Amino acid sequence: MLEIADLEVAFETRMGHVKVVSDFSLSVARGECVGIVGESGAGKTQALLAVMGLLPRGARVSGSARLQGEELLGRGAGALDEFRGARIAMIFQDPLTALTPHMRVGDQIAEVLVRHRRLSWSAGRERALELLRAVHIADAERRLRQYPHELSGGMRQRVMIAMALACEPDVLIADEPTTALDVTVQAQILALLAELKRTRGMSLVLVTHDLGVIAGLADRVAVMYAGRLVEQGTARAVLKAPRHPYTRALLDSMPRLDVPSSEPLRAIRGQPPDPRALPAGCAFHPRCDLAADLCRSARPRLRPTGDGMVACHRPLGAAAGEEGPTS
Amino acid sequence: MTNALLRVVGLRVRFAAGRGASVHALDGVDLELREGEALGVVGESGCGKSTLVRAILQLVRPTSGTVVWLGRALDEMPARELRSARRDLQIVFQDPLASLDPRMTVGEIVAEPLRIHRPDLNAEARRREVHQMLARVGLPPDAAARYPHQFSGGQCQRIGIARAMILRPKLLVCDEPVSALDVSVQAQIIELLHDLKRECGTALLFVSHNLAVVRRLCERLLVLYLGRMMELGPTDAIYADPRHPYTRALLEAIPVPDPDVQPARLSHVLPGEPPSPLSPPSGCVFRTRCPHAVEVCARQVPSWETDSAGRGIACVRWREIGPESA
Amino acid sequence: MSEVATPIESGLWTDVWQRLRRRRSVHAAAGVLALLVFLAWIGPALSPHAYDALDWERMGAPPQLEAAHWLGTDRLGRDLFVRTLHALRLSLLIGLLAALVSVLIGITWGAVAGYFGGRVDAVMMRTVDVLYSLPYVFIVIVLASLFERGSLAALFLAIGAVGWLTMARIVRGQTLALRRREFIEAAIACGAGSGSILVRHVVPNVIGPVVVYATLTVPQMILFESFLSFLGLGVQEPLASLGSLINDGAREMESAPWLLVFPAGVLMLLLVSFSVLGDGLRDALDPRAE
Repeated sequence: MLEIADLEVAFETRMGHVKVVSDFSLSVARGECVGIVGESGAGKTQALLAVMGLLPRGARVSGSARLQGEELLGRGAGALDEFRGARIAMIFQDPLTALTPHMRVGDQIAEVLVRHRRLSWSAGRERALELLRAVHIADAERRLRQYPHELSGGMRQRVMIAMALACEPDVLIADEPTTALDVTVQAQILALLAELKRTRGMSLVLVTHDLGVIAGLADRVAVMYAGRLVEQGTARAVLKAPRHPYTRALLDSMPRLDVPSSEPLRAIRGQPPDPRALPAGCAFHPRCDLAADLCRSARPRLRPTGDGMVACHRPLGAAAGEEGPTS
Repeated sequence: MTNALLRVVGLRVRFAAGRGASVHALDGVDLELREGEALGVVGESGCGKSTLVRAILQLVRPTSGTVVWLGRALDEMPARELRSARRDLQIVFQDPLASLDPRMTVGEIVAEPLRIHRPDLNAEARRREVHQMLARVGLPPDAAARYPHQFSGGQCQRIGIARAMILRPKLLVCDEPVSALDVSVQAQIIELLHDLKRECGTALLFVSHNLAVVRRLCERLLVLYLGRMMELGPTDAIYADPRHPYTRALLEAIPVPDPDVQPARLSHVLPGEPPSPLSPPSGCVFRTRCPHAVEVCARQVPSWETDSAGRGIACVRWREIGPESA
Repeated sequence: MSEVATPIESGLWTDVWQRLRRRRSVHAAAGVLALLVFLAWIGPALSPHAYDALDWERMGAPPQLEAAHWLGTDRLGRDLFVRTLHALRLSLLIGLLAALVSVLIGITWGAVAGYFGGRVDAVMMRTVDVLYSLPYVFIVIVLASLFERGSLAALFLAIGAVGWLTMARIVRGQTLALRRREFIEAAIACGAGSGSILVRHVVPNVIGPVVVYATLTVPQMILFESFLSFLGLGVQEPLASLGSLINDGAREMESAPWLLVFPAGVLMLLLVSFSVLGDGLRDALDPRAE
C-alpha cells in the first residue's frame, strides 16, 4: 500500500547541513497498522511530513515513497493534492491549530468533500454529519454548526479524524494523535482508531513516543533513534522481546503499574542526541550499557533477525550464530 | 495530628467566567501533609489540580477556605511575611523552558532564591552553592554561564529543580513536572526527585495526570474530578483496590506496553468527557460518565466518608459496587 | 575549570556587550555616529565662519573652496557647513534627551501599569489616553504662552510630554503578556518582591522592543522639534536645528538645492545609523538570537 524506501530528510540551516532522517524504509500493507516509536527529535514526524509533502521550504528530501506504486515525492503541490486528503490523510497532535478557527467544523469537513469529490455543499454537509456520527460525536447536528474553539480537545481530535476519513483514504497517518489529551479521552480516541481500522480496512501509521499507545493498535512496530530505524518487527516481538538495547531501555523506563513502586525506574542516562552533532558509530552508544568498541566506531546496519530487523552490533537475546561482525 | 506541615481546609476557588457567571475551579478541598511526606494529586485537565497548587502557594487567591502552613494561615499573612515563608515552599513547573527567564543565565536563575532569602551570603559563597546544586541535579559545571534555551527539556527541568531545591525547602510542589518530557527523560527526573526528597527530607505535593508516574513518588494519593475530591488514601491501597469508579477508570485508561493486554483494555473505555465546570451536574459530578450511576447520584451530593486506614471517598455506592470486577 | 571562575551574576549586560561587539553592522553604525558626534562638537571650529555670521559677498552661493564655504551659503550668506554641524549638535541633544526621557518614564509607567494590572493599570493607562487625546498643538500653545519665545526648557517639556506615551503603551502591552508567563510566577513563588521582579525579570524582557522604539524615537523627535520650531517654540533663528534647516532648504530646493541636500543627507545618515544600531542592540539583548 505505502512503500517508503531510503528516505532522507535534511535541512539547510545556518549551522550547516543537518540530516534529520536517514535510510528510512518502511512498508505498510493494506489494513495494517504500523507504529513508529521514538523520542522527540528522532525524526519520526519529519519522515512522515516528507511523505505528505508538508515540510517547510529549505528541506531536502530524497528517496522514494510510493502509494500503490505511485511516487509521492518530488511532485508539485498541485499534483500532490490529488493524493493528500483523498488517498492519504494525516492527523496531528494539536487539533486546535490544525483546524481553521473561523469556520464551522461541519463546513471544514464538507470543504474536503467539495474539493476532492466535487460534491455540492449541501451534500457535503450531509456527509459531514454521517462522518461525525461515525467518529461517535454525541449530538452531531449541533456540533456541525460549532466552531473549533467551542469543542473540547477530544472532540476536536474526533473532528480531525472525521475530516481525514471524508474521502475514505487508503492510508491514515496519525502523528501523536493522543499526546495532548487526557488519559480517559486518549483511550477513547485509540479505541476509535482501532475500530476504524477494523471496520474500514484502512492502513494506519501511528507515530507516538508512548509504547503503551502502540501496544493497543499496532500490528508492526518500528523504533527510531536519531533519525534512523533501529528496530522493526511485529508488535509482539518488539514489545515483548526487543532486540535493540534502546527499545529495551525505553520499555524499562516507563513507569508501570505491574511492578512494585519501591523499585526505581530504570532511566536511560543522558539526553537524546542533537541531530547537528550525532555521536560516531552507533548513535545510541553513549547511552547504552552494552556499548563496546565496535559500537563507538562503526555504525550498525539494519539486518534481518528472525521476523524483524535490528541495527545493533550486540543485539539482545541473539542466538549464537546470529551475532557477528558486520561489514 | 500535630506535626502537620500543611493543612488545607475547605478550599474553594471561583473564577469569574463573564456575564456574571462563575466557575468553581476548586470546590471544597481538605487535606493535610506531614513533614517529609509525598502526596500525589491526580485528575484530568479541568479537575482543578493546577488551581489547587496555585491556591496553596497563594499565586491565586482562594474564594474561601484557608491554607495553614506550619500552624499559620498563609492568606492572612502580611505580604512581607508571606514572602519569607516562601523560602520553604518551592515549586517546579510543568513547562521547563517557560518557567526560566530567557534573559538570565542558568547561574543567575538558580542563585535567585539565595539572593532573596540569604542576603548574608556573598557572591563567592552564592556561586559555590549554585555550582554544588547544579552538580547535584546532574548538570555540567559550565551550565551556569549559559542560557536556558541552550538546554534540552529535561535539562531545563533539572535547572528548575535546582532553583527550587537550593534552599532545601520543607515542601516542594511539582505541577506536572514530567508531562512535557520524553519518556526516557521522565524516568530520570522522577528518580532525581525521589533521591532529593529522601536526602533533604522535603515533603512533596506532586500533581500529575499520569497515575503510573505518581505511584513511584507518593505515599498518598488524592484523586480530583471537576474540582471535587473523589478519593484519597495510601497510594498502594488505592492501586490495589480502587474504590471510586473514577479512580478505576483512570487506572484502566493507562496504556500498557503489552500487545497481549492493551487491545483488550481499549475495549472497555470510560465514555464521555468531563462536563463543563460552568454547569456541573447535580449530585455527584461524576455521575454523567459513571457506569454505576443510579437515580440517587443525581439527587444527592455524596458525602466524604473516611475509614480507619486513612482512606476517604466521595461515592454513595462504593460499598455496593464492591471490589473491581474487571 | 575556567567555567567555574566565570562570574554568574554579571550575566546579561556583559554578554550583551560581547554579542554587540561581534556585529559588523553595529561597528559601522557606531563609527558613523561617533564621527557625526565628533563633527558636531568640534566641526564648527574647523571653519573660519561663525554660524550666524553673514557673508555679504556670497549670498546663496553654491559649495566652493573659495572663502571656505565648503557646503555653500544660504540666502543670507551664512555658511552652511557650520550651520549644519551646529544644527546637528542641537538636534542630537534634543533627540537623545527626548529618547532618554521617553525610555525612563515610558518603561516605569508601562511596566508598573502592566504588572500590577487592575485598577492601577486602569488609572495609569487612562491618564496616557487623556494625554494622547490632547492635540499637540494645544499643549504647545499652552507652553508657548507660559515660556518666552525660543526657550529650550519649554521645548523639552513639550517633547517630553508626548514622547513617552507610546513607549508606555508598548511596554505595558509587553508586560501584560509577560505577566502570564511561568517564569514570573516562578519568581513570585520564590518570594521575590514586586520591585525586584520588575527590575530583574520584566524590564530585561521588554528591553528589546523598547530599544528599537527608542532608536526610532530619536529621529522622530528631531523631526518633531522642527515642527515646534515652526510654531515658534523650538530653536529660533539665528540658531538652527536639522529640522529647521531642512524646512528652509525645502523652500529653495530649485534655486539652491544644496541647502536641502546637505542637511537632509546628514539627517538620513543619522537615522540609518540609529536604526542599524537599534536592530543590533535588540538582537544582542536576546540570548536566543544566536
